[in-house]
Amino acid sequence: MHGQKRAEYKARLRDPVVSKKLEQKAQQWNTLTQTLLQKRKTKLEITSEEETLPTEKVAETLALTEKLLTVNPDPSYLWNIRRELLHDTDNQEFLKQEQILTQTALSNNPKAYGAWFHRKWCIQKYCNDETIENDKTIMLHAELILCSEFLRLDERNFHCWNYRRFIVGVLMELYACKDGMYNGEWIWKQNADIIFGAQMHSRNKREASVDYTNNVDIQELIESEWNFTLEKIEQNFSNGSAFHYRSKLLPIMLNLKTCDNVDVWECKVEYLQQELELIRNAVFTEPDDQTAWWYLRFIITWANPCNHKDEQENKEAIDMFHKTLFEEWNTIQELAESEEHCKWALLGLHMISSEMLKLQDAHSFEGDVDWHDVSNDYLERLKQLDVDRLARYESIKM
Amino acid sequence: MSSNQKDENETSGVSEEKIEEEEQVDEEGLLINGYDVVICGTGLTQSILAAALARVGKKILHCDSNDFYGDLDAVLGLDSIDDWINNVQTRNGSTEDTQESDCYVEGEDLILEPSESYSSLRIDSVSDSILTIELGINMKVITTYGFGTIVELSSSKDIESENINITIQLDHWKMADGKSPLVYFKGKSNYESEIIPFDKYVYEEHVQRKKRSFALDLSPALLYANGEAVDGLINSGVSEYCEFKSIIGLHLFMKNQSSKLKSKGPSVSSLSKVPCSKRDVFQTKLLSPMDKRRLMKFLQTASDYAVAKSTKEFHSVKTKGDNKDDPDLDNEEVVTSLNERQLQQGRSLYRPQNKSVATTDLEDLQTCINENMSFESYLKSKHSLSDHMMKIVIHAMAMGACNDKQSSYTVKEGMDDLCKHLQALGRYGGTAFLATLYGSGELSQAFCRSAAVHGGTYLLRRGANSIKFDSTGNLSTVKLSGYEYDESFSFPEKELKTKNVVLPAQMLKSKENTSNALRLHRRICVIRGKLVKNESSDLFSETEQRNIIIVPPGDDIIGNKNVIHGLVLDESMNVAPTPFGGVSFSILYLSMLQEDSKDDSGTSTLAEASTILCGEDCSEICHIAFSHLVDNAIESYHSYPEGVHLSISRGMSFTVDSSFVEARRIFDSICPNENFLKLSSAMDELIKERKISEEEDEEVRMLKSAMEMANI
Repeated sequence: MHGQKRAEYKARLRDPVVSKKLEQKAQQWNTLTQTLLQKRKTKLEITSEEETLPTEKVAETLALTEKLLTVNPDPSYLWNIRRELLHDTDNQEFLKQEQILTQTALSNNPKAYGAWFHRKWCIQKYCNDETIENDKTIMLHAELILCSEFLRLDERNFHCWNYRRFIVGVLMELYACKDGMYNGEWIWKQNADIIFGAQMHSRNKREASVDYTNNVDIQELIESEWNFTLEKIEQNFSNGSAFHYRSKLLPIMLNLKTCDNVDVWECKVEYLQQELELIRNAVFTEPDDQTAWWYLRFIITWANPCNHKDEQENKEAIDMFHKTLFEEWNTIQELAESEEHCKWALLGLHMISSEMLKLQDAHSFEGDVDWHDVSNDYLERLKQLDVDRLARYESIKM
Repeated sequence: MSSNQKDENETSGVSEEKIEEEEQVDEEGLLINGYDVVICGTGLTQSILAAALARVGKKILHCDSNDFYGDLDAVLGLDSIDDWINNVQTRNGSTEDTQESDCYVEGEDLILEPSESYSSLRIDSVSDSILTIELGINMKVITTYGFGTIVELSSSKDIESENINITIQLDHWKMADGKSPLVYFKGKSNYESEIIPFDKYVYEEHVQRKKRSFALDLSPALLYANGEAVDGLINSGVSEYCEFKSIIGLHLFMKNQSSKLKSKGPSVSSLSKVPCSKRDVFQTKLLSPMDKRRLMKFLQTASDYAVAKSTKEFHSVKTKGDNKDDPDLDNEEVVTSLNERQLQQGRSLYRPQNKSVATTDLEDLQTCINENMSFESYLKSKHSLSDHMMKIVIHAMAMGACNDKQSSYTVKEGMDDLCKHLQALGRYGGTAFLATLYGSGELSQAFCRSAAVHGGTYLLRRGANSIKFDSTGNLSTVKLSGYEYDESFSFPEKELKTKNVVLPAQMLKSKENTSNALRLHRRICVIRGKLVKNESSDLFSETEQRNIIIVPPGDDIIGNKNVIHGLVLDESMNVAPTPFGGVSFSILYLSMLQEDSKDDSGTSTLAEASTILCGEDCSEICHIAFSHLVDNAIESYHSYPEGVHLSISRGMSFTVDSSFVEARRIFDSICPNENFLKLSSAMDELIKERKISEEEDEEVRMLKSAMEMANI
């Protein structure tokens, strides 16, 4: 625990009363897990001969794992046993019971991988079940509220951020289906993937894009998520998960905003400038915090027309991007001058100049800086400032 | 002092019968053989001292000439405020012809000002102006047709009578086109019965009827969430008598100087959050990016300074404490508290792990401290802060330089004040401050109660008149004033033996020597509406009023020469009635120091500040303005005979922490070898028990029931 000396903690363990208590706990734990594994073995034997396991046996095993997982939510074999039993159940009420269990487990250890995964698995099983006629979106919104509570307590818990993205992905799927019922297929897998990545396996990989830009529910959801990330970043901008989520939401936000024939580029530059201001505030407040610098790298790469096939010939877009980035370059230079020992400011300048170099390679600008030399110059200075990564800087030289 | 201690040792050795014999009491229940300490005035400092002395077994008598606790730190209902005002005004009338010199002359009795800290108190203005309020454009009114706003007003005077035309927009009605209907009042009709100004209605129907729901502090004060005050409250267990809430926002009333907004016409002052932590600096719109960098750099230096300072302090505590306590325990304490401090700052100021402490900045600072540089020039020369940012740092973060001698505010003072603030960040809530529910006057009452529980004797309505010394010049007795409850029941003046007496410095203040004295102006305003709009809506409701407002000197509109401290509280602190019928209240406290003079510019400056802060959405319903001199510490430490202790008032200070420091100073001089405000052993036991019962192990219970279920 924080504020406690390790020696102090260790000394307490050496106390005979405490250590005896711990030993007894360990013994009980071992006996119980052995029993469980034995039960599972017999179950496999039974099910190979007979059809199913009697329900009271199932209930008993479930209750036993529940108690053990409350004590320690980490071992995945315990969660596996549970899933094995739940897999074939047609009990529609299972979700509530699993939600309570995982919630207790996560209150004990908010970073237990097994517990987060189990919760995801249960939500997926529930949402895939076509026989359940309840409005599943209500339950999913409750999950979002729970996530917010967890993130209020620890805004940097990446497990919870992952889970949140998963829930938002499922919600988007449900909203995309007209009747609000999920039909068991990922309709526009491509877009859902943007949100929750490779967290869940889709049954049917059908590549079809549905126009979700007219879907009010999805619009509201994405916008509220976008604001949520900003709220969390404002609380503490040293939050890689929040910035990462923001980078995933940004392309969708742009899609939503540009559906009514608004000029995509105007909109994109607006977002670019808005995000650059956020980054500026962060790096000028604390230049040695790397989070915002990585976000800078994402933003300028995302906004650079040269990185997108369909924008490469858009002269107006290229000029606009060049102008914005040039201003940013000047601002960060000011920072680098006042913070001589800050390698991140130099790295930031290098990020900007490499994007500028891409522009320069494709188009010519009047009176432009020689970005090739400039970016190499930054690397030279970095080599002196950050000797540990000398070889890396050498290798990315152009 | 040595003779005192000897007595103490003797009494602790004697048998019980002897103590009983010693503790003979007179017809009022007062000790005939006298007290260890007589404390005059129940202000906060004296109350803390009383509690501390009673706890170590001193026989104390605590008296106050008022019929309520708290002296100038009292909290009063709106109904008792009227009595208080009358009382002060009658007193002021009667004391004008007292003797000129109260200065101590060796061998003579010391004549005291009869009313504790009230000697220089002056009521500057009391409002009932709301009752004679005149109609004006944009005024909210109540008509026979409902709630409305005056949009047009014209009057023309005939020879004999006055004609008035009034147009009122009925705000609560909407017509088909979305507009509100207008009503016209024409001619010389008796409009007073048909149109009532809304604020007059509020005063009569809400304020007058709920006078007792208001709790007004004469000298409102806060606590630093981590500091002398909170330590004292927790260590002594007195915190159990009070409840606290954290202040939501620390605001600055000044022009927005961010580069973006500069161009947009003349800027008007407005409220903005003071950037105290990394998060605030990141979010604030007050500063340009480069300014953010400069401020952040300075704040990190300040937090390094705080850590370095506390290490030194702890070190000295350790060497001092070696002889009385287990040295190992002390050492342990140093480590955990340092660690905790850094953890708290982790969220507010601490650097990322990859950044090391800039030692050169600290060395620079030390040099400037040694050179006795002014805080202002340090900020300017070493951190290139702009005037704008300097104001923020000096007035809203260090909360210092309250008088107009800003150049005499040194780096040492500035950094120490700033450290107190920074170290209190992040412990409870979003700001560094805690406020006491039902008013900060509750604090002095709580300490008095604690002193009484530990055997202190309390006398209200009886003040000290004079102090007598024996032939050898030692303190012998204190004379208390008499009191007449009614014709049949009264007490005469009485002399009591005592070894020590504690007086507020004001009781001895000489009247001649007030040429460059400072006067503290205070204004208590009852405001209709919620004064501050809170930005964050995530944790608190948007309207709750627990906010500090700092108006730095030289505001264009208010025109204040010195900084104005404002504090806004409301029913969330149980100091105002709960909103009813769409009417809600805020209590606004304003305070400002000014050179003592007969003119009332201080009073009018605060009146202006109140009007400006209210803006259009709120309005002041009634107010009290008063002022008193503040103690000059150097003057007051003028030597008095042994046993006479002067306590210096807190003055303008926003926080009560200095009262604890002052109480500890006097405590140490009366009983140098005792622990200040230590927890009583009974309370200690209680807490230990609580801790043991909490250790009930949830895991053990769970495993046991699992074993039972599996039939093992």
